[in-house]
Amino acid sequence: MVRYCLLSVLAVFLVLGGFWQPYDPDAVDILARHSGMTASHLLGTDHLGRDVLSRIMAGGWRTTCVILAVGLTGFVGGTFLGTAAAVLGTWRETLILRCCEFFIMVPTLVVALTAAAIFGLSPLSAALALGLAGVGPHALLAHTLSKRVLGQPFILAAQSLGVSSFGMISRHLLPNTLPLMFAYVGNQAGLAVVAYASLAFIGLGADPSEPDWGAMVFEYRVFIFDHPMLMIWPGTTIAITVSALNWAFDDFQA
Amino acid sequence: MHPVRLGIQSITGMLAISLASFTVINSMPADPVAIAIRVWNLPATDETVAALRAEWGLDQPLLFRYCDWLTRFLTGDWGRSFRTGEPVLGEFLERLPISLSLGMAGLALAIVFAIPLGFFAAAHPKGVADRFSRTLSVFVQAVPGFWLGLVLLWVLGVQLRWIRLLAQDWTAAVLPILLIALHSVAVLARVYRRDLMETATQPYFRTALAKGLSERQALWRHGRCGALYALLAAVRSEAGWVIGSTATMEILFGLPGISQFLVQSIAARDQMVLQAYVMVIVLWMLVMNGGAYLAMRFLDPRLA
Amino acid sequence: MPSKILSGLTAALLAASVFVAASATAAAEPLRVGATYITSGTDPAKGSNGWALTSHGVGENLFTVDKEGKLVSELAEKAERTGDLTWTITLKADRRFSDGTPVTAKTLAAGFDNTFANNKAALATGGKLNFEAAGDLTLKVTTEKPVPLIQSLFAEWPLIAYKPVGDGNAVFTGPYRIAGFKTDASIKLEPNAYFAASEKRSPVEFRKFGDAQTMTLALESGELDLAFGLPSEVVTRLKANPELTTKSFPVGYQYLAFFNTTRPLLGDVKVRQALDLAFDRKELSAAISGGEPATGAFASYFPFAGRQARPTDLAKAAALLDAAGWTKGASGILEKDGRPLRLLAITYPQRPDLVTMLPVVKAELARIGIAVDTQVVENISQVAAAGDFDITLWAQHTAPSGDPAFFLNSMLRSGASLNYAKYASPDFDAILNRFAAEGDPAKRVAIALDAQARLFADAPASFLVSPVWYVGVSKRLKNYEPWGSDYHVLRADIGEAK
Repeated sequence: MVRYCLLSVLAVFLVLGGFWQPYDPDAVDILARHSGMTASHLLGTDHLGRDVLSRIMAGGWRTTCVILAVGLTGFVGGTFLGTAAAVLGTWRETLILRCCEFFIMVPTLVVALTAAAIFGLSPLSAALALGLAGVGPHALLAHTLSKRVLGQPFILAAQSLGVSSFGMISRHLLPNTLPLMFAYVGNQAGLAVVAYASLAFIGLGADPSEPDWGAMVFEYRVFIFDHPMLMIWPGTTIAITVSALNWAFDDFQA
Repeated sequence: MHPVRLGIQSITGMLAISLASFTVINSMPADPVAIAIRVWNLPATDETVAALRAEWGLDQPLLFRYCDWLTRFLTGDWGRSFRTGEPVLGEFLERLPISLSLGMAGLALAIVFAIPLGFFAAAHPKGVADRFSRTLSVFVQAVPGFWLGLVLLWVLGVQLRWIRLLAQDWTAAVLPILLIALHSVAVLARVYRRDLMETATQPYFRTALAKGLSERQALWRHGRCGALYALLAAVRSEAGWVIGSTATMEILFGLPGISQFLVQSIAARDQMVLQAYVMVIVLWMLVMNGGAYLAMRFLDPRLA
Repeated sequence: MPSKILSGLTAALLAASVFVAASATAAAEPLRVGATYITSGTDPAKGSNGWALTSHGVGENLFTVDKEGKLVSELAEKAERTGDLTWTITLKADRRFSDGTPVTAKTLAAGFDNTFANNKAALATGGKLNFEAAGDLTLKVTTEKPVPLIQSLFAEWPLIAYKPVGDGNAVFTGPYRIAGFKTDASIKLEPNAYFAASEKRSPVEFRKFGDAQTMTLALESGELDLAFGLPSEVVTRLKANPELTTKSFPVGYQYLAFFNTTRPLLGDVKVRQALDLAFDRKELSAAISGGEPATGAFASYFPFAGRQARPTDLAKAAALLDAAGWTKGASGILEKDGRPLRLLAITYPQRPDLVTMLPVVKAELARIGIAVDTQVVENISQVAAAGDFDITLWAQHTAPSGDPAFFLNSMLRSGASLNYAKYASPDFDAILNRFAAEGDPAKRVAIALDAQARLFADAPASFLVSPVWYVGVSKRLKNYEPWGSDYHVLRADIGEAK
């Protein structure tokens, strides 16, 4: 129960950032630079007087978009490929699985790095790249799960009753595999957050004024001597978000 | 799996990935001829454009270009960087040692630390080592390495002044290597522990205990080979994580490795550099895969 | 008597040995200098090595710009015009290269010929120059285009004076000579024995740092005697350190924004003027904690600089945009025919100040309802030349040879290769043409002011900040006086405490 509360608090914070922040996250106020933690600026302001909390909240919404898009891409693509492989069988199964295995071999971050290099880094391009990189493992998992379900007696019974293959997949196979697949997606959300933060930290032609958490760590790293809290806050936010996600989906570890 | 089969599979995989990346990179929304004319200050005449297009075979179909590129790549002609004007191979050879030594040292260190940590965690479930490795794995999953590095720089370098922030010698690599290793230590220790724990449920393990071996001795004698096997299997996937981490570490610590070079080259739409980068990563993965495979084969010839 | 002689001798010997020991320790202890750039090689004709080698105190020009921004002679004695395109330059008599050979017209001519054959940047002002040695110290120069003031042409950085010795190597005349060079890392310098007062100079170890932060750390940990180009945000911290002295100095560089006049949104002069009025230069200077609001194209210490601060007037800017047909949309962003006023602003990381200014520019334009996307690109000259931008923040030394014409001609004249704004105004070109015929400095000032007035009206660029830069020095170099931007970091007199 506690973990659902925590998860919803996190979700509210992340989604709220998309619609409302205490200040305009881009508004510069040179007179109020490096204000430190005050009542009006809870997490203080940066070297240009921008409100850190507002920037973190705006970054939270961008991160949320990444999580959702990564999950959706990996989930849809992986489930489709994996289920198809399991149902089709024979050489097509082998081909799909081999492709997935090769694809897994290329590190996720490198796939995303390449994609960001080509298309420029934005939440959308990063999420698509990370999602595509996630299709491989998702497909393998979906395949394993589907095979397991397909070996069950009730499938044989349905088959002997002459259920069409479409009906078989939608009525018998997917309802059994999807919950586990969904849990796996949740389990990967934390990884997506860290990967996106790393990409934003590396930069790669991203808009540096956009308040991504990783980009903020990069931008504020130069104040490590005089204003270390600037780089502490976005990093702490990443750590808390990922911990909460991992903890919430811990049970479903596939 | 037979080594020949592994070799064939690796080569097919590499070809497939190179073809895929070549296609994607060549569909980049940038015209290399226009870039070259700008960068190398060539006269922007139709003849120059035609000559460059012919020289790079841009008038040929994609597949033909791919074959041409592959031949050149294999013979050591990796093209020329737009940004620096130098051959890409030379640029990479200069920077590769830094990235590779970061990655290799990180991975090696991780294996060295993961084995004792995993072993003691398995020998004393819920003991200090077990709790430590569990906490560590939760911690490294949530805290990005680049940020942890920054915090360490602040604590150790700025607050305590224990480390020199400005080392220009080998000491500069110590912190990045430790940070790269940290994640893998946690993952590998858990894998090692899980496999040892499985050993402990086997009948022959109980026999060993009955013979009077202590639990720890029995685990070591009967479990270590199997667990090492599982560890090596995990190393293969961890190698990908490690090479990805070197990218953020190179940026954070300003180490002139290939990832930093890539980042600098991206704005120049330096396609040759990007392509070479992908190939180097794939080669790294293949070598790690092959190395782990050979080690596993050595441990357990039956699986060959 | 003999004992007196003996004791005298002993004393002399002692004194000598002390002196030798002192000079030996001095020679063993090089000055450690750090900067964020280093020459990319030792070939003076390649790229911008001419500038870097002069900056390292290795090379000299025939003429140069002194501390006050005045054009003065260096290796040359004087230059006289003998025809529309011909000049005679007289060299100073007693100058030697660092290998001990005298500086003659013939050796210099060989060096310049090599530069003009290999470096396009040398062609900017006078086209290709021809050299002919008419005696040991007399150099006859023929220019391709008429040049009003050849002294200023010879003060430009590509025209470093040297003796070519083959294979891209060269011998120079500056106060230091190169003793060792590691690409992208460091350069070892020794005093040039044939330069006046060489015995007073220590050797120098010049190190390149990847970023200014690391360089600051090196200075703080006592590993540097001179750190050139400190980031402004560390200055307060360094001021508290009794071992160090930080000095700021105005530079000839200007931070400006080029507006790409060929882009649809910025083709309208009203929009460009509105942008110019929207910039709050005080805020921009404060953001980089160093510098003055720009008064025009040149740093205010030049005689041809503008005298009044550029105005900020949001109401007027809004009125201009309104007159151009832009109205506030639902999201607060200006729109015309349903299209938002959204611009792409870019800059480059090699000048960290510009990266700091970029989000401020975004915020300032947001105040008048203009949305801005920003980007930091490593290879700015490529991107700028390709025109893939609306606004580019730029740092430019606008009077490197002490004369206003070079910058205006090379970056704003119609069709100029570095004209990133793609500004094409016949009126402006006509003003610039007057430079070619005018040799009187006072009248050149008037032309420069006319040209700037034209720029303010047409707004192909907006001049933002005249920055100050910071150097940090240890006790050993506490008398170092920074001047001349980064064109003369090391020079004959760096105030070494002996």
